[in-house]
Amino acid sequence: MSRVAISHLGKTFAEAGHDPVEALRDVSFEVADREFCSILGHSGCGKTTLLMMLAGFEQPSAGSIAVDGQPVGAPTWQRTVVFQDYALFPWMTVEDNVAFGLEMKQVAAAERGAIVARNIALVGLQGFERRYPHQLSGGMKQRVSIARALAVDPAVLLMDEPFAALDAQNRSRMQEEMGRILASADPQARKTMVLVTHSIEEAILLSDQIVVLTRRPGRVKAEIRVDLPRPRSELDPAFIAMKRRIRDLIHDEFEIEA
Amino acid sequence: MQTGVRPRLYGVGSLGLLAVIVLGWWAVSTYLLDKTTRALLPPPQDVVKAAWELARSGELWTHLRDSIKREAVAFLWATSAIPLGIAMGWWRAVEEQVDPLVEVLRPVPPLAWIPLSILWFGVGDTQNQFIIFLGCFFPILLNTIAGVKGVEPNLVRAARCLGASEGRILWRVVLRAAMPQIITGVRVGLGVGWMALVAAELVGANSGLGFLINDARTVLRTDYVIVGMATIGVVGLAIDSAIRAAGAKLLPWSRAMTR
Repeated sequence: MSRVAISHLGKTFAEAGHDPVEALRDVSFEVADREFCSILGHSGCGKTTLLMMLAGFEQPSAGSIAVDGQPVGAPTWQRTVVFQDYALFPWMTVEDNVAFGLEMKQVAAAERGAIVARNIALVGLQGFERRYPHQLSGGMKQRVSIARALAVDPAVLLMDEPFAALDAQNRSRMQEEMGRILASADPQARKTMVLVTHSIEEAILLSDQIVVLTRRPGRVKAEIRVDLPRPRSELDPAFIAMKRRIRDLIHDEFEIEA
Repeated sequence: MQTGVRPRLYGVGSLGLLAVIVLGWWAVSTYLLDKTTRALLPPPQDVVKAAWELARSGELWTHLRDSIKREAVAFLWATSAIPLGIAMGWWRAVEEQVDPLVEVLRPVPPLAWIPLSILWFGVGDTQNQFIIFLGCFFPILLNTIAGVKGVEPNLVRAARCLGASEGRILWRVVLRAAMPQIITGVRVGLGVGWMALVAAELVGANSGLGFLINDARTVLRTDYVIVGMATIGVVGLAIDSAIRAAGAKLLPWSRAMTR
């Protein structure tokens, strides 16, 4: 059970010598256990700030965040993050990166190997275990980052625009593959996931629920349930209809993206 | 993964200018100078002969050994700049306290400490090591601080959310991520230390390469002076190359090291 409840959340950045910046105002929504929720919004709408607060890197100025009724405190392996810039440790090989969290969690060395191998296989990187990050493409780096975040078996997986830095082809491949992993995974083994994105397609492709934020200060503009069968296709008429609906809905918030 | 635009190692062809200069030196010394002034600039072959004498008698090695030992001991002390730099780069309170002190001491050249250090420690190893230490310490400290402050914030966040404690983050992430810049500091520090060493030995030692060239000067053995100077240059270059090679070997992931 890992239910995320965000209630009346607000965040204002106050810096000496500058006018305070209100990033988020009165944001409330819930993510049900083992569901995939996308936070969709324009650049600068505070969606990354929201994710950073979910992880525990930033503290709310108002309101609260709770996972399973427990208020979110300092960062913990219960909520791991996949970063847009991968944030892999460049001095560690792929397998050492994936094993890092297990080591911090003090998983017995004998068990680590199997967990690392399973997660590397999940993201399709067998054969690259001994490579260093600088020897991998962007897409492969992001796979390592996903494997590293999943290896510690977190309750909630947080993703901050994980595919935004990839080129168009790699991005759609990673989205498809993520969709495949979501579709095929044992529902009991699925994590509660929160994805921050500015891509409507990506949100529909992957989510059970989409939360649309307004421009700064970010507020909840709409909550949309996505009940399309998985794996989803962008060519599916229902997919296109939903895309149009979301685009119309947030027309005034978004610059139209191709 | 050599991606540098310029080749790192120079071929024999790039020694052309050096050869011309040595040739010019030989010509000047042999044909332009008379017997008296030639004593001030002996021709290259005399210097080679002198180097052979000093090497055979073992005198050169004794001085070289003493100098390297001083550099090594002082460097070991100066590595204390690494933990201090990490603390200063990581905790603002530490930096606020230590930084004013560093900023006042740093612009004082190590050589300016020589008179005071001779009064404190007398002539000999301790005084020399103290001067070299001052030369090594600040480059290592400043580079370590800059390295720590330059660590990608997301690397630290990633480690945090993977369950790393503060101590683990410092040891496993910050130290490693700052290592290329720390090694740059070590390179600069050893270079400055080596220069300071020779200056310290000129006035405050009874052995070492600096002592050798000053001692030779008093008896007008300019050939020995030049041998000593050349040894200082070659050894300095060798130390720097060794650190660079070690950096490239130990940190294959760092562009700064393999470039």
